[in-house]
Amino acid sequence: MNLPPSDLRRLFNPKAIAVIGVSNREGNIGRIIFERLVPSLRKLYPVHPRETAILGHEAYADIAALPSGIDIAIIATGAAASVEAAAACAARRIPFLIIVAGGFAETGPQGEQRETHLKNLVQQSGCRILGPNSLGIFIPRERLDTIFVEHGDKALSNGGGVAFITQSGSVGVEALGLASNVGYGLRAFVGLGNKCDLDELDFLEFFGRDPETRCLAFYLENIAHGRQFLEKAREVTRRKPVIVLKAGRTPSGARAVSSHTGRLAGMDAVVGGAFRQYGIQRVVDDEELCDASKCLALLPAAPGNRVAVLTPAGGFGVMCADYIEVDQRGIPLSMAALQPRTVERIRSATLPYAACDNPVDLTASADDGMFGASLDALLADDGVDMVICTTFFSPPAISDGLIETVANRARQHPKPIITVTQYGPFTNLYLRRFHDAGVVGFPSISRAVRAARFLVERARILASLGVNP
Amino acid sequence: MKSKLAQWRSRLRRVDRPDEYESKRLLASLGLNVPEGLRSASGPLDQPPPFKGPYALKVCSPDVMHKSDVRGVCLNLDRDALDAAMHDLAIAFPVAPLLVEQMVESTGPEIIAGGLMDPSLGPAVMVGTGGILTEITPDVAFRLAPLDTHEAHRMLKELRIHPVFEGYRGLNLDAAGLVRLLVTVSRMIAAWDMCFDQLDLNPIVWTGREWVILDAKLVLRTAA
Repeated sequence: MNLPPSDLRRLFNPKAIAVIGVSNREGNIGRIIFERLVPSLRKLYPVHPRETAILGHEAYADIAALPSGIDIAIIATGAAASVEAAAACAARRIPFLIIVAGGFAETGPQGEQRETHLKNLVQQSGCRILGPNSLGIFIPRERLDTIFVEHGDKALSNGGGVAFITQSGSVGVEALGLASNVGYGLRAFVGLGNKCDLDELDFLEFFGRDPETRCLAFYLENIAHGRQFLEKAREVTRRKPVIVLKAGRTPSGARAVSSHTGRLAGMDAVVGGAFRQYGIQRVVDDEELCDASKCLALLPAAPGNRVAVLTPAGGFGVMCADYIEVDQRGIPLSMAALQPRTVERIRSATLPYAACDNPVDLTASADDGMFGASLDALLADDGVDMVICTTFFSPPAISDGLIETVANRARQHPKPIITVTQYGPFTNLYLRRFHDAGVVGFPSISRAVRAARFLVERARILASLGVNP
Repeated sequence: MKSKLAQWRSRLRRVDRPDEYESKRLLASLGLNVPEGLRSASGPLDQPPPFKGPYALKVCSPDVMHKSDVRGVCLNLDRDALDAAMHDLAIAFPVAPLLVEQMVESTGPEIIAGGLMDPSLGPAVMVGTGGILTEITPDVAFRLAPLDTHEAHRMLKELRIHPVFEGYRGLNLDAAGLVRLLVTVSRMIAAWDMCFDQLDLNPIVWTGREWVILDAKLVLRTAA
């Protein structure tokens, strides 16, 4: 089946939004959504049969009474009422409907029937439906947010480059909530829900072309139009990374597996192979999805796999070297062999007892300046493809200025810098400060090294597609 | 390719239940190497095989999926031993045809290739370390079919045994030849439409000159 690309511009940049099922009762979901939408400064139209006004906005008794020109209707009623409301919205030629309620195909035959009604409505009217069972959309830079549960929205409010598209609303909001603690740049969140109409392929198309999107991250439990999604992903990945968490390892092929091949395919070796074939970067859990998209949205593909490690604590340097030299993801990394000149430069800028070969250990007596000089030396070394920089803020000679010291190099130098910060209860705060300064940081060595592998994997994908990074 | 498959399918002895001999005839018609072989209607052959020994003798029926497990395979037989083995197998499997093949001398590890129909992504192809331990220590790479040679090379590079294609311990198994085999197999799998279910080519061995498929199992989707 070949579907034409969908025009989703009015969904992501609406001028007028109706919310169906909003009341003045505290805790009413429609009302929470409505409150969230007020800062968007869009024209808002609450619909409720008895209320006269919601939060100072004139309320409309029914959908038929709404003015024309509405871009999105958010339907926040129960499942059965949602089907009726959707039909009424379609009759009013509202192009996009976001249906929040569950109680559709995921619940049994009656729900399935309701979902069929929605599909038919799409076919007949040409309206597009996100959901049902969708948390809707969240676009930080537009201050457009339909999500009625906590999702780190304040910490994410500066926006960023990741389009985050998730079949499960819960997984999406919880993942983002955690990611926002350590700094995360979100272009847009889309809750797919049951995908009765709009699905991952539509959003792959849209964000693939969207100039503000630097990277696409998907949480999917099934892939609609499997091959078409893969083909499109291969096209998009030439321009920007596509990361997919495919959850729910379904048995592959063969009804009765009688072959070695069938058994070796196990639960989903085919998906893994197909992702490699089409240039999709695969992750296995929510944290990895966020980490991968965070670093791939901000950092370039690594020019090679040789890593220099800079640390004020020897133990972290050794652990980092160990992680680097374990082969994971089939993406080998190696500890960079520093040129003598680099070692000399570091020696002349640091304390006599610093270890100046890779991993470079500045010791806990180091100051900001020694970090800066050592980073400069490592970045200038032709044998270094990227730097993992461990930063601690408890040593007495280290100041908060170290953030800018690192950020300055990250901005000016094309080689990727990944930072690791641990600072007890202030860890997240400092990681967010790094993020706000444009530096990719993680709270552990293993996550930083894993991020480095994503950058090397990205370079391999571009090379196999014949694209110069 | 499609018409070749359709023609082959229409001539199967049992509808959509190809046996090893028939599967190998198909592979041979696509230019892949299989041992010289001769199949009996059932029981012993009426005539001696027109090729030299030593011989392999196998029970040859789509009903017997795992021949070795049921002692349906005899290897390294000379002419006399072949007659005796045919007699024994004919008693053990009274209605099944028997397949006599020329033994193939090989070097290096055994390779497995195969395919299956993924319910969401469609036809897929596999290559890996073959032989009887293949499921205990899996070393395989999957891709969707069809493949180009570039992608098939990448599959081989993913395998832990990849060094055997680059001179490891004096082994110099021909990667380019195996890639051609994979590309051909992947095209066949992709051309099968919906009736394809599973394919095992295991083992595939390197003779020093060419890759030969020693065993083949092709499962089609039957109407049932």
